[in-house]
Amino acid sequence: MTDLSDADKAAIRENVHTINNALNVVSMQVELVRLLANDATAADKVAAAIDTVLDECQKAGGVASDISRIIKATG
Amino acid sequence: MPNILLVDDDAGFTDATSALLSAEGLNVCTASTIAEARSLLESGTFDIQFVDLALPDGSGLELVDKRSPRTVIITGHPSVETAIRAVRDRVDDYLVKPLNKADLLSAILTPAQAKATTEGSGRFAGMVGESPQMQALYSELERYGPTNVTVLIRGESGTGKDLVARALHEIYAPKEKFIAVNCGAIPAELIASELFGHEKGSFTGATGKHLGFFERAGNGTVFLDEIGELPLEQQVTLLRVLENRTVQRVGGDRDVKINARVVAATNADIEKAIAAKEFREDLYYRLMVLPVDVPPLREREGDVELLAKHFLAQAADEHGAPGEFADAVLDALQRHSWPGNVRELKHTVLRSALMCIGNNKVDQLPVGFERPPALSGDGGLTVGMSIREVERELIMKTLDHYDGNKTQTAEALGVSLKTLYNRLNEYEASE
Repeated sequence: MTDLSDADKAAIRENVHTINNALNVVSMQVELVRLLANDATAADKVAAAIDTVLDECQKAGGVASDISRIIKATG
Repeated sequence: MPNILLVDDDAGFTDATSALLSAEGLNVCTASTIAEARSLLESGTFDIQFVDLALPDGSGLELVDKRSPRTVIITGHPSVETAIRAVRDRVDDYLVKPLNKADLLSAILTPAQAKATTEGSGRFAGMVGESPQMQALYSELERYGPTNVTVLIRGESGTGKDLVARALHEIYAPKEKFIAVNCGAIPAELIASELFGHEKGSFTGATGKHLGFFERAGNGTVFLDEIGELPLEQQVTLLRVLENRTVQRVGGDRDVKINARVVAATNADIEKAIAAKEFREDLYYRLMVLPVDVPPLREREGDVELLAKHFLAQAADEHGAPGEFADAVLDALQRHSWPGNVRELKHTVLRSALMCIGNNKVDQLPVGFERPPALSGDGGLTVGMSIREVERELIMKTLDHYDGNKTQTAEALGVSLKTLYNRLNEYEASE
């Protein structure tokens, strides 16, 4: 990582932050789904939680690709 | 249940977390900016705030000041640990994302409450027991724990008064020091210096300044075990310490403010000691602000089996002993009156478990367990003996029963080790 520019390092730090935030939302939404799993009237909330989880996973995947690109570009 | 403020700009997190914590019976408010959080803090009463470090209008640390409720910082930047440490005195905890429900709950509950929650209804902060007497004790500890008021714990030897003191400390100030002092074990000539400290040159051998237990405890707890053994001279000083919340080091002329909470314990009948002028009545009432009585094991219905199985599981883990009792052994344990209380049960279970290593079950008890030696017989009780002679006979027979082990003898007799030594020295001197 010593070859990375300060801007690249900052970008990686920011992306790690974004991934952690996304995983945080995933973690809590999954806990919520577990809580609602036995509630027959909570189907809409469960569906919304699953949509959120999928969005956050896509977000995390996107920034993980950005990190790969930065590292690849610096050789 | 605590009121919680959750400050984070990620609605996916705050919505889910708010629903999860509400399902646990907690009251949760959410804010997405510092400004919104400030407004809520001004209008509401919160016990704890979870604050994201990176908020749209600034750093979450801006919400931390002297008036803040208990604060837990949450962050997606694992590398900010150092920055959080810098303000550690103002932040109670910090959590790195991604979080889970257990992280949040353990940060909300005090360590003792968390332990009680995770250990189940039969356990509380290291104590084991689900009898009504113990449930009542747990409720008292939850009520008294968060205050800094002086507590006097009363109970027979071996009932676990030290665990009660520690539980109070865990609820009151878990991050601070817990200093346990056995007032019966410190030589009388050293006790003032140990409790209150001394200045350099205050007596021969005082080569430097020494801080006493009260100063060293800081904002934590000083646990004065066997308070009934504290010499009368020091009782006066302790009374002054409790009333003024200051100590004066031996050889010093300056009052030093103290913040530590004082918890005392006794297995002696202090009221008798007061009548005999061996304990100051004013100190007794000063210590008795909140009395806590620890029940003897014989009064704790159903707890013998629970405790015996708990101690056996420990012995199985540590020594490879069998993990189960034979029915006959469990029956015998439940029939016993346990004069030495939980400590006696623990030692009995350990001895039995060690005797039965290699067996499928613990099917033996130590020799003489159910039949303690009678006092009658050659050299036993006879009409015309003085109380003093009877006491000596009892002490010597008990000492003999425990193969000269003075600690076990003192426990069985329900006296402090110091008292036992004093009696033995008297007998030796009179021979």
